[in-house]
Amino acid sequence: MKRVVAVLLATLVGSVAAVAQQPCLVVGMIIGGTKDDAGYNQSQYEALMALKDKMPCVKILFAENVPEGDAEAVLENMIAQGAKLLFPAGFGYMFPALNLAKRYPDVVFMHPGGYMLAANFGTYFSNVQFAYYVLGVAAGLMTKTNKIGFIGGLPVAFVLGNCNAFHLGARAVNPNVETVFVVTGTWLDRAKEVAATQALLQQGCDVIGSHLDSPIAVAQTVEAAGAFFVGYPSLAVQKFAPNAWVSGLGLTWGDFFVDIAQQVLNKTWKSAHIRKGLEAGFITLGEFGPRVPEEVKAKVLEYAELLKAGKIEPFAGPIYDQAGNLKIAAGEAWGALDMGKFDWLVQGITGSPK
Amino acid sequence: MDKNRLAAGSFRLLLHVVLIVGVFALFLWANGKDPIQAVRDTVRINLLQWRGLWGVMVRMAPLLLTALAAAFPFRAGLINVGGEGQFFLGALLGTWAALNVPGLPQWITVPIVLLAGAVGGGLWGWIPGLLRARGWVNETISTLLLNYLAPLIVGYFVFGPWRAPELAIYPQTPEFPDVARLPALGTTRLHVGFFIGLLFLFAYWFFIHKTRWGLEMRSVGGNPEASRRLGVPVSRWVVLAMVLGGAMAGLAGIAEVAAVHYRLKLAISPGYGFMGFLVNWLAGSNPVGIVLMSFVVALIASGGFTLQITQRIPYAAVNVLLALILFVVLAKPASGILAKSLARRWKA
Repeated sequence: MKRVVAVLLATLVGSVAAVAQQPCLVVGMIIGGTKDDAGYNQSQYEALMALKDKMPCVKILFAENVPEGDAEAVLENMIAQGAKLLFPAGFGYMFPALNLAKRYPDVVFMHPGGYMLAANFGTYFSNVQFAYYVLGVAAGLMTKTNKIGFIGGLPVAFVLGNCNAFHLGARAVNPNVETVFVVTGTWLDRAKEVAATQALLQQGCDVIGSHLDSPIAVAQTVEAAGAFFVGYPSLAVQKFAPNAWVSGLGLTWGDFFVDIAQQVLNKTWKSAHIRKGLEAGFITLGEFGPRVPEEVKAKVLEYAELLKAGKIEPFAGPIYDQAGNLKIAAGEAWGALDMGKFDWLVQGITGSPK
Repeated sequence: MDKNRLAAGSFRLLLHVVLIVGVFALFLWANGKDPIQAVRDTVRINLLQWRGLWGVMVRMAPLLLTALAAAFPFRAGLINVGGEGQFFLGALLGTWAALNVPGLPQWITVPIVLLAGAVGGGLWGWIPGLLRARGWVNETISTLLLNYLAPLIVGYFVFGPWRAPELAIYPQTPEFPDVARLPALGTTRLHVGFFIGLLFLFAYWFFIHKTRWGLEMRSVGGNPEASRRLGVPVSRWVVLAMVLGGAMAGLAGIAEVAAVHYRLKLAISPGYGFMGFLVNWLAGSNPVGIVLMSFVVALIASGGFTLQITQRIPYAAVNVLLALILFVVLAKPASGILAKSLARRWKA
């Protein structure tokens, strides 16, 4: 009995102490992969850590490797522990999170890349396609074979858009460039990624870009072959291809997460689709690798500045598809909201958009 | 005699649980975490809160059925490792039904959808059953290989003919209509799939122990040659046991899709088919044991997320734990002997 009383007292004291130093906001995140994948999941996790660093009063709840069927349970668990701002940081979490958003109207959900909204459910992502144009410029200048390769997870609009931008950027500085596009059929399968990379290298592609969850296997394969590599979606992949590295794009949402947390605290947060690019720091151009000549660096940075200033439109017509059909007419240009519309590849790209 | 076996059985189950928890506690302690706090967090969040308990039960639902997918064939002396593939095929055929049944009320639509799922899983069990009955291919090999095939078939439909147009980046089918969804209990997440699992566990017990068919099936598992000489249609039972097993996994698959995801996609199973096999082995194909062991496995999976959140224990630790359980499974004969002697002593 004495022990029971002691335990009860200890619990009471413990909770009083907890109340005394309560966090200003509890923020939760779940990801589908691991936090050190040098790719999509790591970029989400790093943004969360940046939030933690910049707002020390925030308490962080985090879980990785969460299957989609478990998302609702794990997020609800976080809500039970006081979370008022949640990042269900995987595309497949959109529906489970929307279900929860209905049940917990006082909790704010921010989802990466979703296409639905609710009063307490907003979305964010970077305008990756436009930034990928800059990597295309770098690839076009670096290639010696005039053939560059792009590996996608699935042949879906945003992947096709990145490949198109990569190709158009390269063509802008090197009209002889051809691009080869392959898909692995899944967002993460290292064996298939290695096979796809080797196939591209054997076909003579000497600069490789990709859109996968984690490009580590691609980076290592390109590094071993002595060719060139551009990284995406996390700059952490650079260390897997130190010599092959040309440059890369990292999804960088740390400051944005801080803004969102502040808005939730001040109760000024409003549901919206937020899409921004290089100019807003939503995506960051990496440093250059050791084999990149100075004049290439200068040219790439020049294009990056022009893009930030809105002085170039990567998807300005006339742009033709592989079969030679006019897809974007002269005088027309596709903007950020059109990126979900790609079901075709630009003329000069080999590979199937289906 | 039966009482003795029951005592030995429950001792063995208890021993398994103690062993699993003990080894995991050691593992946590060796990694500088507090095992007592870990157990306390797991219990507090996953058992003492309704919300957490529902979560554990939602995860149990598919396990009850995928365990039966291994249990039926096991009684006929067969090893069905194909629960995962049968789960996917059940989800596939059930989805076909859900997306094509014309506007009928929920109480008709849901049984049709579930039946279609069972047929899909049963079909995926029938193939290895037939191959085995004909003496062509060992069912352990064929069920294992069919596990790799099933998600590819699902992938074909999800990426191809059934793909929802609005989901540009994430191939999945359109949403199930409301009438094709498994209802949940009030405002909780606990869906009727859990109770369907319990119902089939009871049916399994009744079939195996109380019917002539069950007796015949067990005789095939016990001594096929003797059964053949006594006139038991051995080949037919081999096929049937696999079909029944497959149907259970198929039911699990479609129930999970119709109750949790509402749409078919590739990410519907974190390995429920394999976990069910594990549950059945731990439970020795005993229905009460299956309930208990699927509860333990579900609690471990839920607890894994809890510990990540509260104690920052990486999810890999849960994988280590599940691997440890596999070792316990391998040590089953030894623990069986220990449990028997314990039971004897306890009785004496």
